[in-house]
Amino acid sequence: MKYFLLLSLLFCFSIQGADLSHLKEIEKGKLIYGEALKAKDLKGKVILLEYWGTN
Amino acid sequence: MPGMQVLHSKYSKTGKFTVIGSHVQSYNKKAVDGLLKQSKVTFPHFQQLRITKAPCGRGIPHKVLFDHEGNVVAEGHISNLESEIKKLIKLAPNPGDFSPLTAEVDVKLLKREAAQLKLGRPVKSALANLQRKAGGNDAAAKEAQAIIDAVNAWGEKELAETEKLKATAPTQAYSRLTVLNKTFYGMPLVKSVPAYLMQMKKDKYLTYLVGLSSQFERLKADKKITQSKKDSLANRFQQFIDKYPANEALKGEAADIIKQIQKL
Repeated sequence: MKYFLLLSLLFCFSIQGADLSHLKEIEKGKLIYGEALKAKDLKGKVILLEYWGTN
Repeated sequence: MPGMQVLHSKYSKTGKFTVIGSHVQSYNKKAVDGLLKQSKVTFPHFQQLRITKAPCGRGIPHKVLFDHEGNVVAEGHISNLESEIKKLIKLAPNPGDFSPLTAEVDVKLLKREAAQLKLGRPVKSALANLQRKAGGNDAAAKEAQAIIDAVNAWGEKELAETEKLKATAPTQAYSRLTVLNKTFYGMPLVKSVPAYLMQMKKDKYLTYLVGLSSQFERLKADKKITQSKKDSLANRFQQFIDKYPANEALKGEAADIIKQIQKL
């Protein structure tokens, strides 16, 4: 029974999938420097984003 | 900014990591470009890019670190940033694990089926299997249909792009058509491709340049690229241009590859 519950739990987590909403937001962003990025190019990557300013 | 560039230069080579900048103050092109060029930054920057699940904090600079599944792992001032990145890179899948055929679909339910759809491997039977699943009204059926549509759309787009390349970059067209033909083998999409490939194979200069180009691909994947390896390969392309009576399109491709070798 415990084994069954554990498997059910794991299954629930596995079908939740990744939240890749940020990739679409990046793709739609206004590029001001460098090469454009497509969501598909970023899929599966670790991303470090820095919010910054010049003032 | 220089610290971010160091991380980008060091870890983007893995194909599993990238840095992105978002300028969140009023935009002055001269000031922003000047600063980025001065810092020799190579990663992309956006104006007022705000990620909903990880908004900018009160103070800037404000960093956000996402894992490969899009989870926000750390934000703000991140201590031990580099060691966090290293840990996450180890957990991220290898770049080759993602198939361009299904890249546009967020596969959640049919991961096993989608994993069979690899570039260069026949997809006909896997698509037929998905077609059977697509018959229902549930989420899995909708996902199956989305995967089928994505694969077909990719094939059509690739075929159209290779058509354009035939005149200007024949070896690229040849290589991509070969892969397309293997992937969609036995399907109506590639009906005319085998005859065209046979015709292209008769051009001995083209097949020679295809072979040289594959050496260039191997050099790109080489972890220890030396100047002598680059010079040696560039010389072979130069000899092709100087000595072989190939057409201008082939010579143009060879010249482009020499430029790319120099940039490695």
